[in-house]
Amino acid sequence: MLVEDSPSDAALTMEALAAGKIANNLNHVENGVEAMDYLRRKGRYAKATRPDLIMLDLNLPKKDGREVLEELKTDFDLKSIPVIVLTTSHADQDILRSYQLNANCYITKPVDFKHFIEVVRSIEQFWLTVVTLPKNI
Amino acid sequence: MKNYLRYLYAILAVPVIVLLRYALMPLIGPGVPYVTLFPVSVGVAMLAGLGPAILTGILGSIVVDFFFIPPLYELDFATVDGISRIVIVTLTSAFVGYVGEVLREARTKAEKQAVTLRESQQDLNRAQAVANTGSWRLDVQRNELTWSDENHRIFGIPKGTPMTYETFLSTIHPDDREYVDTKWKAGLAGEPYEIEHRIIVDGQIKWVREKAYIEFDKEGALLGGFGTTQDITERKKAEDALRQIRDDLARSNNDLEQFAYVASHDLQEPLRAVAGFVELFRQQFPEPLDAKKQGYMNFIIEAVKRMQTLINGLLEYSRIESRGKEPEPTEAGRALNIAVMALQTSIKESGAKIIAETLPTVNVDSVQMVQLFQNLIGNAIKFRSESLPEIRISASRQENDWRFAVADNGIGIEPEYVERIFLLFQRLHTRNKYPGTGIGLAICKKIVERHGGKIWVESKPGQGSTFYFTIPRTGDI
Repeated sequence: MLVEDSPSDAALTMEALAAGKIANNLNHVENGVEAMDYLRRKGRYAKATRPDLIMLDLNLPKKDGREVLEELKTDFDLKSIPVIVLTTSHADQDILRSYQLNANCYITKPVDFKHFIEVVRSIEQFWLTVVTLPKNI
Repeated sequence: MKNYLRYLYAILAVPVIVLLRYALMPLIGPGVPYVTLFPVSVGVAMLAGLGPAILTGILGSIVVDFFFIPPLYELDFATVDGISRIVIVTLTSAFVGYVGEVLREARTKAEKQAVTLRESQQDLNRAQAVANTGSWRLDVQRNELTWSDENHRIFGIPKGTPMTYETFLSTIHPDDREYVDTKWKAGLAGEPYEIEHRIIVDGQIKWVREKAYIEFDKEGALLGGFGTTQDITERKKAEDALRQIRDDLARSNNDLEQFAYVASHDLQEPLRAVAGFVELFRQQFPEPLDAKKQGYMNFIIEAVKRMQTLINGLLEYSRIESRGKEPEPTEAGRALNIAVMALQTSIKESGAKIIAETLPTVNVDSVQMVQLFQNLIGNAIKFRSESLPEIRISASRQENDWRFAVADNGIGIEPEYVERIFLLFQRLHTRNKYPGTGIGLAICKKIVERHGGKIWVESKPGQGSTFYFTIPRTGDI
């Protein structure tokens, strides 16, 4: 699941993943409230499937990514889903805080477009082929 | 008193002796003929000294013998009787004269002491007035407070007012009273007494700084205290103003930093979108594009990259002040090494030779020193000529600062541009020939000027340039 408010960044991310496994199963929400609704299968997301992986931007409208992270990682059910913080911020406080809230990893979005694509592809590579994810019930 | 004058007095005293004796005739008759000689020789001794007194004694006794001792009006003192009389009288008046001399010396000494004391007192008062510092003494046993003139002036209480410790307390600003009292009591118990507090004089608040030392007598009993009071109102005002300015500056810097950060941050996203989608467009276009259209796309992508570099450059420029550290002793040689390591790729590519002479330790922000070297050496490599670049870094000790030099054998700079290149965004060549944003030297200038130094260049087109910059020397570095 991709939680990203910038349509252009979202489009680029999806482009980068187009060739890989995730492409068909990538769900995109634009703010923190929708993210939690999706994960809790509320309202129009009643039939949502539990994501294997969450890519989370920190600066989101309505509910911000930091709050989402905290909620996720304190929820007994949801905390086992790996969360990759993918954000423009490279501020030390953000990095520290994210890891303190148990983000699985923190990635600063590269400024350069080509690097951005590489990073996204390497995320997919690592988390879906190298790493073993918990089986979902 | 000149010598001849002293002996003149001695001689003039003699007629006085005679006349006075004659004057006393109706009162005491002819007896005690020497009665006026003794006082007069004392007088001479006190006025003119022992020697003249003896002279008066001798002459006086001869003359008194002549005028008052039978046989009268005859110089018959050459008898044993006569001479022994003269000797006795002279010795006695010498003794009296000696006493007079002692008295005279005592009086002169007392006068000198009085003058010295008065001058001392005046100097003290003047010194206190100049230093805006008064002095005071508190006799704890009798609860009597004595102030110097300056102290009276500082506290605005007229001289002559009877004063006790309570008088002092009453002048203190009510909020500070307890503090001062506590500190004073601690001082009497042996704690050092050095405090600053407010007083109220004619409705105005003043700040004073007090220091005292407590006196004890031989048995260790408390006598009182002696101290100084310095009017530091001006200094406090200046400190407050300075603190205000510093806060404003910190706040302003902070705002600027935040602005720069957010601006650069939020600007990256649309740039990424532009470059990204152009690239995707290029990749996904069904037929290969002709050269012209490829060219258009390249321009767009290059523009975006340049924008990103500019943003980073501006961010770096704005951070020189806002993220600048306090200068600390830094080995310039080490900063140079770090800069050279960062430039390894371009050094290898260009085959550049970096020669560093012994460099001093200077007071600088170490990170900015690296930036400085990196920019200057990077430029030297970038603007190289046909020959292999050779870059020499040296430093020479001047009177007030260290003057560093980064000399190259590159393409050089025309004399009319030597000032312009340090301005923001100024470039001398097109982008095609030499890449760059025109920020590097502006950053160098800002760093150098932030440390109180100057930067300039000496160059000959075609032969190379030497960039000089100064870093002020502080202490014995």
